[in-house]
Amino acid sequence: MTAAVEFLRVSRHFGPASAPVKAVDGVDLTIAEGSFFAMLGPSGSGKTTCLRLISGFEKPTSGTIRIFGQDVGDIPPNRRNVNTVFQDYALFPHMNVRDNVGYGLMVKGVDRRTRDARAEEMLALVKLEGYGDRKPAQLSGGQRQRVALARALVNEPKVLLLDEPLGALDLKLREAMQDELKALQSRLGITFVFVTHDQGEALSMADSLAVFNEGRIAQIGTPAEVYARPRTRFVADFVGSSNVLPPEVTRAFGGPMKWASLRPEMLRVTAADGVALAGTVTGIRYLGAGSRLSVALNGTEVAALLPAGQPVPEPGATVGLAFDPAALHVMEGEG
Amino acid sequence: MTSPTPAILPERGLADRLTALFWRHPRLLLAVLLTPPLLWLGVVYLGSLFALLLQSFYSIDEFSGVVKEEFTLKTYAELFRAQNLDIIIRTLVMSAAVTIGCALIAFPIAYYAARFARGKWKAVFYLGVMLPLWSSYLVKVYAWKLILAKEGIITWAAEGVGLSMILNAILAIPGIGGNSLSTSPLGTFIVFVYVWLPYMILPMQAALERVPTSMLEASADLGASRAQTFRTVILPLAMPGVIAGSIFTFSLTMGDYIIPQIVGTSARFIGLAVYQLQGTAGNIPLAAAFAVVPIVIMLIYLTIAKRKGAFDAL
Repeated sequence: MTAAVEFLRVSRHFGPASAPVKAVDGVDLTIAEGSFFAMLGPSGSGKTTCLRLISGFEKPTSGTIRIFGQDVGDIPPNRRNVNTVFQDYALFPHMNVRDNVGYGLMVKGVDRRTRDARAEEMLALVKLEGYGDRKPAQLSGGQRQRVALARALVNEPKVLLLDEPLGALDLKLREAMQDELKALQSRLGITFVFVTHDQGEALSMADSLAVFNEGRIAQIGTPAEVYARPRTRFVADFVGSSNVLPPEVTRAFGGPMKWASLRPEMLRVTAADGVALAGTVTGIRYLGAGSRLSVALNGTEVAALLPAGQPVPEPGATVGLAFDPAALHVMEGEG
Repeated sequence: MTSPTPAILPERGLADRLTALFWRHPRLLLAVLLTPPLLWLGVVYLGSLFALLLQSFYSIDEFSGVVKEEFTLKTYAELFRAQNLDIIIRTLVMSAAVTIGCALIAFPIAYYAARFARGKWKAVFYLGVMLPLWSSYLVKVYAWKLILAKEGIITWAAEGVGLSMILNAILAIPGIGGNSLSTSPLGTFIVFVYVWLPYMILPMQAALERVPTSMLEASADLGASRAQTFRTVILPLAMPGVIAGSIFTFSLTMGDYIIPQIVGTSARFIGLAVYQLQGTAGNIPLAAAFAVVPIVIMLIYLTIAKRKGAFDAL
């Protein structure tokens, strides 16, 4: 399998060389051809800068970026066969939907008839047949998003970059678009690189994902790997809000003297008597499909997911906690 | 539990009573705010415009010099006499040239200010653009007369660096050249461009400011060269600003009667013609007819601009 995108020790620093802001700091990354790759991280973690390094809107301070094996250090954005769905969609307000979608072909000198036909095909692909004559201002957020997608796909890019494309949509629409994007990707076979701060979105859509923190990649892997075996405290907390246990607590929980992650859904809430781990309920958050209990245990706050249908203890009650020792994941990395 | 603060706060006098009044009748505030300017615009401005229009349909008795208050198109026909048509065409060509000149110089400045200037440099930009407006218009025009004069700094500098040949060659071009820069149509053009430039830069900059960077990136991302992005994205989106600026430069040039008197060949422009006709000649109807010309030209200009889609991005 070829690598669609490769980062070799790539850094992007802003500001003066004496006190640089390290937006991206020594990132190594390989994105396999045909995969759905997510870049996940909080705002300011460098994920969007990485995306812009691929599209060419940022130049690396150091390091090498290759797209399908070719060094793109000297290639401006318009010559990279990589297209972007922008966060604000960036549709041209003075052009109708058809001209927006056909823009990539227009600048290549494709004649009007051909590009109108292609634009119509792309609109059909994103289920917007018959919207060609409208202006972007006349569309809803979800429709604009689809136009942006059609416009980015019209050039048949080798890699499609999506910068938080679902961020502006409401929940229902977002879920529908997640399924559609996923289906579209497997149908077209194009490599998708998807930037998001929503860990649920990244877990459900990506074939593999990179978790960014402070300009570096904290972990790369499949969603299942990252979720089950977070490498660092940051990953454990950011992906699925795990219980991050300090070494002493890990030992109290029957593990080694190391930082560990224990997923809230792996904890069972039991009666307080006759168990090794007992604590006081300090807070209850109702989630619909269950409740999330905060339990104070030897001075550590631990979250446990209580499935719906089970009796919910009162705040202040003493409860016991039990778990399968295999669920306690000891973390190797720091930070 | 009773709260120490009441659910409804007591009214605190006139300000609160007015607030309540405007809240109950939302249109009232609008009416209060709009009445004075509407009176001003409606009565003073539109009224005088109408009076002007009316005057232009009267004519002057050639023997007595008295205005005949009868409806006629005779005065308008006079505009088409060779000498008057000459004035109109000269003004039109100069206004168009000044507008294009302003647009060409203003665009890079406005583009820089909108896209790259931040913080302190933005303040420097505004100051730089507005600074010329602080001094009197007449002072600036006379200053330019000295700069452009035969004994002025431009001729002197051209001699100093050995470019007199080029300056003389430019001055020898018929139609735009002359004895010196300060007595040539080119000089008039330079001063007009200088004086009206801020009125082109500011609306252009406002229009460019509204074009998000992501739109330019989207264009490049889809394969457009810089030139293509300029032609297909930046220019159409900046067009309302360019048109707004050109309305200023165009109409200000068409109406000006001072600059052509001080710098240039003393050939008459519409503004000067109006000034002389209503003053020394006492031919109010023809002055009015002349004054209607810029209005008609502006209307034609805006209609064409609208047809060409200049306001699509509004």
